[in-house]
This record gives sequence, C-alpha cells and structure tokens, in this order.
Amino acid sequence: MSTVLAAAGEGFTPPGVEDFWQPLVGDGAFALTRPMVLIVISTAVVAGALLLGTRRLSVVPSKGQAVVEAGYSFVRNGIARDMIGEKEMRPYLPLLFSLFTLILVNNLFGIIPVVQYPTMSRVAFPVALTLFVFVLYLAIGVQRKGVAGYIKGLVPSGLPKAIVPLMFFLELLTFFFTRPVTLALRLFGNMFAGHMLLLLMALGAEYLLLDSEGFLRVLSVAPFVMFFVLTGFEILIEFLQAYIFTMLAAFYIAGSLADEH
Amino acid sequence: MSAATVGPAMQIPQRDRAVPGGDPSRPDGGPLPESVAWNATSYLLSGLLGLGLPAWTLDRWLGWGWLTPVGLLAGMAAALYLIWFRYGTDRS
Repeated sequence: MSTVLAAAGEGFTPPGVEDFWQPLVGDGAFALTRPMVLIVISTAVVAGALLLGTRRLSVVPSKGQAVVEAGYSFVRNGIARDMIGEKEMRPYLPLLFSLFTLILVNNLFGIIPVVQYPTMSRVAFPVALTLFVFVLYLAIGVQRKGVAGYIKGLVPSGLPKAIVPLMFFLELLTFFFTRPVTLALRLFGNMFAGHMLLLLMALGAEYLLLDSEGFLRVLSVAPFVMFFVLTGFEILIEFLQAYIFTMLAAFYIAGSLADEH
Repeated sequence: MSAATVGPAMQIPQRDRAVPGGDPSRPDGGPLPESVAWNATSYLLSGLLGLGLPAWTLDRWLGWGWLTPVGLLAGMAAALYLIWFRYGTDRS
C-alpha cells in the first residue's frame, strides 16, 4: 500500500474495492486468492476445534468440551428449537450448527492479526451459503406440499379475494428473489463495509503519521484510536451477523416445514 | 413478559400465537420475533421492486413521469399490509 502512496506522489489514496482482491497464486478468474485459503483454514479450524472439544466426553466437561457444548446448545436451544421446534429440528441441526460456526470463524478472521480478512467480504462466499439454504428450503417445501401446494401456500389464507393476485406476486418475489438476495447481501455488506472502515482508519493513521508534517502528525492519534474502537465494534457485528444468518436460515426452513398457511 | 404488561403496541410478535413457520403444538408458539423483523426487510424490498420497477418502466415508456413515485408508494403500502396481515393478525 505504501508503494502505491509513494507512486501517487501526493494526497491520500482511500482504500477501495480493489484492496479486497488479493490473489496469492496466479491471476484472473482462476487465481488462488486469500479468502479461498482462509475458508479452507476456517473449515480445518472448526473441524479441529470440534474434534478436540468432543474427544473425551464426560459428564463433568473439560474446558474445551464446555465451550463446544455452549456453542452447540446456543444453536440448538437459542435458534433451532425456537424457530423450527423440538419435533422437527433434528435433521437440520448439523446444517445450522455448521453454518453458525463457519460464518463466525470466517467473520472473526477479519480482526485476527495476520489473518485480517473477513472471508464473507467477497460476495461469492455468502452467495454460496445462501444458495444452499435457498435450495434446501425450496426442496423441503416442495417435498412436503408438492409444487402446486407450495405455490398455493405462499399466500396466507384469509386474505380478501381482490388483493390475492397482488399479494401472491409480492410473496413470489419475496420467496424467490428478495429473501435469498437479502440473506446473502446482508452478510456480505456488513463484513465488507466493516472491514473497509477498519482499513480506512488504519491507512488514515499511517498516512497522517508518516506522510504529513508538523501538527498533522499529532492528529494521527484520532484515526488510530478509532481503529481500536471500531475493532471492538466489529467483534459485535461479526457475532451478530453469524447469528442472524443462521436464525433466518432456520426461519426459512421452518416456514417450508409448516403445514398451515 | 405477558401481553398485559407490554401493551397493545408491542403485541405483534406475540409468543403465544401461531406465527407462520411456527409449530402450533409447541407451548411457546411461533419463531423468535427478531427473525420476523429481519424477514420483514425482504417483504419491504419486494414491495418496492415489485410495483416500483414496473411503474418506472411504464413511466419510461409512456413518458408520464409521475407513475414511479405512485408505484413505489403503492408497493410500500402493499408490503406493509402483507407484513401486518401475515405476522400482526390472529388468523388461527
């Protein structure tokens, strides 16, 4: 980054989308990029942590087992049971737990030193996760009610006859377009914007300290402090987004499972 | 929290009501109110897109200029009505 600044000669170059494109091997469409490596690492981290945490299960849990159990019971009781219900939640628990842990670890990568890259700030990753959830809740709905039944069930019963076509149109648009799109873009946007803000503060502090003169150097304290404040804030967002994604996935699955409406 | 202590304005995501996606056999009722709130975004967007976009296209085509705001407002109203009907009324 500093070479870019030096080449520009004068003025501050704000961070942009291009800073998120980080090929490690090769270039172009088939490059091996930093987020690709990170998602592989995150899978290994999640799998490793879960295997270690559940290696010697005991009634009085070890520290590792206690952490894994806390995470699992959060997804099971805090999300799946409240959303889908005790009766039907079992088949979907592994998916929801995997989604939550995977997204959480990848989000936390954004603030872990050296790693420092939220995988979900590349839009393809949340899109891939969303496509899986999307296909799953469509499949469950069609399996439960049949294609005709599912389409018919989109509109809540009891609507006044005259506005049923309009509402059907809106429901169709919601189920097949805005739901998956907002699910993916919410995660992507939060991770992208949050990391961009951190980058802006870090680069701003660097620029004020190294490339400016006199009193302006002192001012670099402000973005530097903000960098730490926002990092703390990011931790919150990272947990929240992992939770929201999992919760909505459970909500959509539950909607397809329900017999009524 | 019981409904009596919350007051009428807060009753929309009531736990003892069968919300779509909820399991009627469960003692605690429907899904978490937060999920309903987050999902409402999709409906609002659907309303804006679903009526706003055709209105804008017609506007472009006919050169009227006033149809787009009407479409956007109608879409917003329709979406709000749908959210209210789906999650805010007792249909069981």
